[in-house]
Amino acid sequence: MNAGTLMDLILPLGLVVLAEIILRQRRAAEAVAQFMVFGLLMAVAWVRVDAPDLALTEAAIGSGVTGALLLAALRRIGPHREPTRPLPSPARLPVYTATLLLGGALSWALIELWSDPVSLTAAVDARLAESGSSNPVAAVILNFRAYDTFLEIGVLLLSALAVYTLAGSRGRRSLEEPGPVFQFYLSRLAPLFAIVALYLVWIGSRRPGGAFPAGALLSGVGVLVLLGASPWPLGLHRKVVRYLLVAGFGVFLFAGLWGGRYGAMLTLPPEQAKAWKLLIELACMLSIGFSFTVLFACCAGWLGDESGEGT
Amino acid sequence: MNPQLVYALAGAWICAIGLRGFMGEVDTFRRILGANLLGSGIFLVLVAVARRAPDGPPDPVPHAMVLTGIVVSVSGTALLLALLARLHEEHREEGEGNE
Amino acid sequence: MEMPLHYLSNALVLAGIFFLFASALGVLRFPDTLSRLHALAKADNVALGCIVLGLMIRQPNALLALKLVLIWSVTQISSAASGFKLAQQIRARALREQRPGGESAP
Repeated sequence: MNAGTLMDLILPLGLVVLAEIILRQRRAAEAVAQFMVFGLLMAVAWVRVDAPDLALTEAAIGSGVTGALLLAALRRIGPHREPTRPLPSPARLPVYTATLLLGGALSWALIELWSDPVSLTAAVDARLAESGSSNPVAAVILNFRAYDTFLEIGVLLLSALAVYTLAGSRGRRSLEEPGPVFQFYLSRLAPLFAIVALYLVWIGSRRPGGAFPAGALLSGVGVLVLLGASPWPLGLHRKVVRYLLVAGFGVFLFAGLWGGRYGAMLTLPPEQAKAWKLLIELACMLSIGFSFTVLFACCAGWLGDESGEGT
Repeated sequence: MNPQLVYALAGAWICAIGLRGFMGEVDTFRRILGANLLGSGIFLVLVAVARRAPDGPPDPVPHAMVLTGIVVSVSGTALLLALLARLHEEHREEGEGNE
Repeated sequence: MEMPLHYLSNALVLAGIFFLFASALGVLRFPDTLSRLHALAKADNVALGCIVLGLMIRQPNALLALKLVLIWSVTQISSAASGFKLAQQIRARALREQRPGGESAP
């Protein structure tokens, strides 16, 4: 047994144990801290199963932005939280039975599945040349399953709109003074991360990367900028905010309709595919990054509809 | 045994633990945590399944699903948290009104 | 010629692991948040620094070795900034609660 195998045993086991610890933790803030650690370990697990783009997305969004959202919401809920009491005992039995059934059934199914490795790799590779990118994941996201991605960007937009509407003016708080060290850090590193995000979109057609990891990175930067007390992402003109939120969905829709001239909706002619995909990915990156910044600002109570005019 | 199976099984049990958190907690905030764990477990299962062929590159389709899924799950979490925070603020105002 | 360098690399990585372990112990066992923060900073600079240095010796590609340095330096700056932010919060809370522990913040 070499070190890699040992790690492949310890890491999954550690993830399961940590999941259990998170739910047993009675103090919510500590549960959130442990959830963020869980996200980071999950990112390491993604690297171990050959998914570096997922690792990047998970580290930036799954651990970073989710953690920030959870903590911000927790602070707004404050001491008025519901008391944490255990589930009444008559309800426990069905819950635990369902848990064990799900875990057992999934494990059994996976072990059964393992002897029969069906894969769509060949199907994707066969038409990879038509997609305008040599990274198969990018081809699936933007060509073969473009409907899924399109609707997912739609879900993100809807959620951002709903949260923006819910924010209200009641819980409005002001940003805090960040101090010189943090401002120095932001002014040097935020541009660096923005460049990395652009690079990820650019490289996404050939290697792991693309709009989703890049947007995740940008949203992390957005949250940091807000923590650094510079409200410029929110201080933009209202119209600009709206355009940025809608950019991904809008460009995707336009590209889909444009492609409709060549056949079905959301089909892109192979010779134009590369340019369109770059455009779509850039717009999606901006929308993903900006939506999460807005979501965080709303959850933290920093952004509200002060005029009360609705959206 | 393929080491990826260990990750898949871990994902299965993280799903189970997350489901318990989702159903078996009284506190809404904890339910949201449970739902997130459930999601993470599903992602782990999907990506490990993508890797189950002993050699060759991983299956890109589950990867793409998980990549977009992470983003969607966080936006769902944000919506739940915003609803929860708003609910608490409404309750608090009601409480203040009664005093 | 190759062997002593490999020993040096191994020694550095082991030293990094030792510091990582020590700082994890510190985070678990130190009594208050500020000293825990101090232990955490050790993990970020000394432990990661040793490991990066050890791996650089092994890395034949100069560009990749430089990327390792980049990782270390970005972690340095991030660690300093987040440590500062945390300490600031701790100090603000201590001042709010009117405890004398407030001035122990750096």
